[in-house]
Amino acid sequence: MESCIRGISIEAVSAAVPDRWLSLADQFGNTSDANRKIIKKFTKNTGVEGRFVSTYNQVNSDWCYAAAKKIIEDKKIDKNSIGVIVYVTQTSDYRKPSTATVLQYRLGIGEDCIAFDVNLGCSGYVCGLNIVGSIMMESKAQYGLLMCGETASRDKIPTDSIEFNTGKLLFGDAGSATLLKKDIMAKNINFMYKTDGSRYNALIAPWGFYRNPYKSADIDITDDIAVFNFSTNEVPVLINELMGKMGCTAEDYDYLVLHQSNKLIMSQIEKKTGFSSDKSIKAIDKFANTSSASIPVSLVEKLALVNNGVSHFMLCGYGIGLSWCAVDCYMNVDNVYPLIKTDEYYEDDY
Amino acid sequence: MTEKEKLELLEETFETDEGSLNPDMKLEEIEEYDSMTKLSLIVMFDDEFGKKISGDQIKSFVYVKDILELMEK
Repeated sequence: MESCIRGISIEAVSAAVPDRWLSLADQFGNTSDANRKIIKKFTKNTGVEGRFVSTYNQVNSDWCYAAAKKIIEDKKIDKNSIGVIVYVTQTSDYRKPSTATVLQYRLGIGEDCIAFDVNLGCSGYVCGLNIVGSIMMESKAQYGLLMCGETASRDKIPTDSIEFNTGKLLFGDAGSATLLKKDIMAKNINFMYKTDGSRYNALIAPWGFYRNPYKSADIDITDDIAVFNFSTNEVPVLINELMGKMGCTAEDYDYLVLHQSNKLIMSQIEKKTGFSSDKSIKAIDKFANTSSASIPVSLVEKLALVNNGVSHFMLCGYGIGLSWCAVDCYMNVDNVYPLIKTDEYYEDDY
Repeated sequence: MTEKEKLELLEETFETDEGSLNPDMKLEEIEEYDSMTKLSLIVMFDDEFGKKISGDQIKSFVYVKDILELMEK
């Protein structure tokens, strides 16, 4: 499916992480030669050298809050003009209500808005832009706020045993905020997206919820090969289709930002879409895979100090669902904020 | 591609020493043949032979020679 957002610009991007960064080598690699070898190979293949890991009390909405607050304060946004709040996560604060409403309250945003959570993972940032943009286009909202990310490390820190599933080392914590603004001069934002629910079990945490409540909720099941083949074969097709529709080739873009799934997958996608490796922004080394935060986190890590003005982007998120979504868009990289590190968290009454 | 060349390519993919693989070796007995190597194997088939390898195919590989047989354009 395709869609086109008109009259709306991507106004600012910000991201926050916990204050604690742990290298895989320090955390797991130094206990034995066998572990050292596993970690070395893991880093070579995935690109992950370490990740930000939350302390017990902190969750993703705390990083999203910090990231959003930064934009709102720095841009002096009238809090009553933010009419759309979408929070994309698979690790929400509560079973109910939507964390988006809690974030509305914490950020002091007025009542004249719609706020809800979206349960999407690695495709979530690009799908979220599509959702926020689409609602704004048909509403009177001046601004829309998209927040994305996961508390990914919480259940996934392996025990001291190296008999871990190395897949669990792949995930890091980060939250992000992106502000969209009504702007009649804005260039169109063009999306192309797909969903294949027949492969819902390729990545799944099936237990501890309503359908299968009586088993540990912490276990994720991943069909590595199915996900790898999907990512390296079907994702490039979508990007190529979107470029074809736009009458563009890789040459016409300043940057490609892929969901930071793992290095092996990203380099295959680059190859198949004609993007040179230096146009493809990568930050998986430092952040690991941060699910729906990975695209904004990479923008923040690599472009916060770049002053190139308005640049042409191809962004693509893909993964759990299965869901994949690509966007051709323009963004002023001067409005990408530096990374925020914080150990602050929200204290509720429970 | 000769069998020797194929074995060399496979050793590179497995990140194992040159000359360490032979066609009759059982894959499950090769330490390097782990989940990450399986993904590298998929990339190798795609890049070198233009072939897509499915999870079922990977599961069907028992011996090194089962992989060598597929290493044709």
